[in-house]
Amino acid sequence: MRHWNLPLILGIFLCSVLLIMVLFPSVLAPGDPHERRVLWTNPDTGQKELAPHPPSRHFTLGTDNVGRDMYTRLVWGARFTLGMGLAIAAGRFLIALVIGTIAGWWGGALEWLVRQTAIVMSGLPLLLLSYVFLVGMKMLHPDTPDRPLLFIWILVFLGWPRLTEQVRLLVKNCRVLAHVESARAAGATETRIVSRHVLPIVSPQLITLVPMEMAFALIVVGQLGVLGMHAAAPYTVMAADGTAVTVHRLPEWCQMLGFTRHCLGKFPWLPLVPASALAASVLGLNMLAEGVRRRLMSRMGRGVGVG
Amino acid sequence: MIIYTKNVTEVAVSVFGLPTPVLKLKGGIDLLAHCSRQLLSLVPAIAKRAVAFVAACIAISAICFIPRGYARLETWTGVTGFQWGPYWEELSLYLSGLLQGDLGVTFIGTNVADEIARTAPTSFLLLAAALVWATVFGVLFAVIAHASRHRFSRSALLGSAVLTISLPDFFVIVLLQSAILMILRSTGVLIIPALGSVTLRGLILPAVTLGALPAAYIARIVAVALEETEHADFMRTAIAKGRSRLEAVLFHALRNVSSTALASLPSVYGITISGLIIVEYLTTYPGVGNFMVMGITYHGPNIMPPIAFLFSGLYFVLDTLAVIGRAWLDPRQREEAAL
Repeated sequence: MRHWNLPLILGIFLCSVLLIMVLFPSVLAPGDPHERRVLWTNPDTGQKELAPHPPSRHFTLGTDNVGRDMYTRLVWGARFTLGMGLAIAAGRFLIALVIGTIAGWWGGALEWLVRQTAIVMSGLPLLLLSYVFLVGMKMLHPDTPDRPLLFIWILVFLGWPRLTEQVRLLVKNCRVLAHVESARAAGATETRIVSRHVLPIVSPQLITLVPMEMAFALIVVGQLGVLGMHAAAPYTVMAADGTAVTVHRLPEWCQMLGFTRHCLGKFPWLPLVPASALAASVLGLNMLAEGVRRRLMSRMGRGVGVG
Repeated sequence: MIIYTKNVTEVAVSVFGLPTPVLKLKGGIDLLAHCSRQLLSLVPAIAKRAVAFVAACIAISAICFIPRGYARLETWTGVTGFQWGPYWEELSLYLSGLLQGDLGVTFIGTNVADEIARTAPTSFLLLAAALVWATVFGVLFAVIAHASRHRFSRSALLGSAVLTISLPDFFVIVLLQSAILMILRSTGVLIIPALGSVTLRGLILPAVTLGALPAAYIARIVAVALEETEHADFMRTAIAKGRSRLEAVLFHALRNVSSTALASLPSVYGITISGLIIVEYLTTYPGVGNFMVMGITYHGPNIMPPIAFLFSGLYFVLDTLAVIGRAWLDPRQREEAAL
């Protein structure tokens, strides 16, 4: 009987939907995410209604409290939120790959440092630390410039030790492999062994770590959003003529969730829509990682691949 | 090095032929010595965690004083009189105060220590309820999934655990809360309160949502470990002796996998402690996490380090307990635990 790799199928499906949302938002949602309809005439009844409008034929997922279409905002917000998750994961990976490989292969003081940092950081909830940081970094204040960049920097800075420790262990386990020994016997330099014989071996495991790390980052970003810390705040800027201009809020999922969590009783779709979107993307990324891992394991079971 | 008491007493009997009461006393002393030796072998492991905790405390304090944005918070709350010096001065002042047991004051003038002492017990209650629920339910879930014969039901049960792991905690809470409210709206029956409180009924929603993620983790870890005992000799023997499959899993396999499960528990607890803040905030449960988020604007940054100490201390205590539990459950781990 054939085994279906359900996680892989589900993961690929969800991730491809997310990818379309990120790359071609105008295809899925041609409307304007900033268009407000506070007072809106319902064509069905002919009566004027006050926002938020519930999900209906006209608004697939309802509107928010100033009458902006939730579905359109959801699709346009994917670019921002998922981009941030990807940037955080990529930043952590860059650090982890460099430091983790050096620490795992050459060892020494750096290895000790990486291990101890990982142990100490494992005892500190990431959410708490990033919250402390963001509070201090004036994130509560609306006109802080470069909020998304600040967000990414802080989450990269606080999240790298765990990933580095994982990479270090993967690389360290390769030291005893037969082909590495034979490469050394053949006179290859250490750098060449690492780049040609070790990193290709661990790359499948590293690849499965990428979506998992992104999901992890998205969860923390979402939790921070719930606590009121989000990269996309409304902010006021000074125009050239000296007048204050309010810049539209970027449609961002975490901000949509953080602002509407009080509305759960009366307008449940307001927090439920962004929360489900975040949950679906986290689920999709986790399932993708799990599916790829299963596939790699079954391939290894057939004797293809090492490690 | 472990010397077993049984051998010593046997030697005593064979060589000296001691009378029974003396022998019993000797056995008792030997047992005591044995136990204390066991405990002593755990000292390095505990000391290591204590050092890590102290390092974590210093790291938290250092991190809390890096940002220089507190002056703005000060003007928001209208409290003046806070003069912030250079970074190192602030940090050393805070750390020396910490050594004398002084956690500082909040913006509204109350003692941080008092505020924490007021809110921490309710948080501990929630955490304990969630962890007990998660452990019991997770293990039971894994046993049922493992003991079920049908491949379909087993993969469905384990699949639901994997699904729960993959969902963010805030989504689970928002979903459950809206479900409760929807039922209330349509039928007028409030199944459980949608917000948390320190009553038994009010504890249900926060504890269940906080425990859902660790329960799924534990279920998965235990199920994977049980899978490995599937073809073990002792399982075959137990089934050959006439035990049912469920009995064999409950009485033979579970004890064997318990130390493996305990080894991975600290990371699960870490996730739970992280989730505590979100669960408390979303269900407005009157604990430390809620106090932290609600109070940051008017209590000031001084409340942050002690709360972080509390959470990280809790993590290291649970970690140490897991090490002791492993040593107690599995003789093979006793010497490894010292490492």
